[in-house]
Amino acid sequence: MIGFVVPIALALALLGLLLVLSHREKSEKRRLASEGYLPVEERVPRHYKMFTVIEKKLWSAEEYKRVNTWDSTNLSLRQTESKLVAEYVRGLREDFGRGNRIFGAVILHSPDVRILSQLERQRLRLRFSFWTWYVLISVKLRMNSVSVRELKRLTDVVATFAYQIRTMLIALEESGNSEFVRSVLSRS
Amino acid sequence: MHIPAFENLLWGLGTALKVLLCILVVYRRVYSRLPLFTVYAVLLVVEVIFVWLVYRTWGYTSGVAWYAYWSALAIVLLARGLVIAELCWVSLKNYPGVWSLARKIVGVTATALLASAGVSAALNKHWIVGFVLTTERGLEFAASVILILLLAVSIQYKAWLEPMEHSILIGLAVYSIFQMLNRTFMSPLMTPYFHWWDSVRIACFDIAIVTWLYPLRRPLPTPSAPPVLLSEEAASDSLHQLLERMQELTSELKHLRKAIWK
Repeated sequence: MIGFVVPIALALALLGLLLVLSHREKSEKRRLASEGYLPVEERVPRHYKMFTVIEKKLWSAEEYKRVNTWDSTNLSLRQTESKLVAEYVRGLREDFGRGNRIFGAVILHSPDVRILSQLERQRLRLRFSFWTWYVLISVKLRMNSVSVRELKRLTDVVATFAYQIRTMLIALEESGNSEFVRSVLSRS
Repeated sequence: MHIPAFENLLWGLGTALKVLLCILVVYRRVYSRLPLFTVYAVLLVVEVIFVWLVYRTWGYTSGVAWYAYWSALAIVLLARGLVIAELCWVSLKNYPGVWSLARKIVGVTATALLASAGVSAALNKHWIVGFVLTTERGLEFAASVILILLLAVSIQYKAWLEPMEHSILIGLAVYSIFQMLNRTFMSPLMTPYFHWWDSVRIACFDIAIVTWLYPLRRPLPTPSAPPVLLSEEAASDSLHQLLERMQELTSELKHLRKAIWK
């Protein structure tokens, strides 16, 4: 019996994977086409810069002013703040996605397998870090709670990643590869 | 031997599609971009004509017919393997790092496949049957995995495939996956329950051909301009710098995580 089940399950899994990938390919192409006219500033991570604004808004909400350990306390949010934070976290996810795509477009040009695999390993680690914090914060947000420290950590991950991407793009541009940078940004 | 009318119809349709594919591939000058796929498309027609002529001359049950069928199948199978390799090369040739990795994967897979087919041929009474059947079984699985990986890589790095290459990939992947199912449903134990599967088996290759014919209905678009490349020196320098920074960043994050969970 197992001799029949395994190949059938394997074939169905591969077929499912093919369908998922085809769907993803279509949606990515649609996204790229719809972002064709976006200015360059909007093609790079930018939402993370709003962290101080969000923190100020949380602070200005009356009840939190009494909290002494601001950073580490789990704040219980009201509807308005909860929405605001959720939107900010979504923005961070978009930032990370953008950074990740630019990173992918650049490392595609790796001259050899060794450096490609090393960079991919770093990318995987970073992704793991980001998604760990992202899931943790999202679960808490569903219960209308957030810790500023955790939010700061997630912002740190994205901001540092964005900084590295920016530095790399600037360095490439300054070394006379501005055409390459433009092509990377338009493809990611 | 009696062949049901529906399967006869499917066979006729399949032959017509193969001829149409062959004509369109030559007419649209696909050979300038994908020479091995062109050879494969021509071979599909040659195989049908050759086997049909042999059956007609020497009879369906003759020894000549037996060898002709298996030899033709082996050649077409080899050509299909080469088409997959060509597809990988055409899609990734501009990216040395990724192509070098893909070349290794395809090379190791092909070697393993041929080695196991060779062993099977040596052990089988009819070497050609052992060789073809083992190669086919391995090729279907390896082909579907390699093609799906190629699609995943193209999406991950936004190294999009041209429409013709994309159709070939989808057609070949769907066909290989169905062939994996065919081997199960066409086994002696299952055939009594799934006698209609034979029609599915014939129809799935027709579906693959229709997928390949679709982009050929119009002149093929000029291939998109090759990606802007970094000089090898610049790529090496900036990527090494990037790697160093990323390593710093991940170790920083590791420390942060430790500090928070303490």
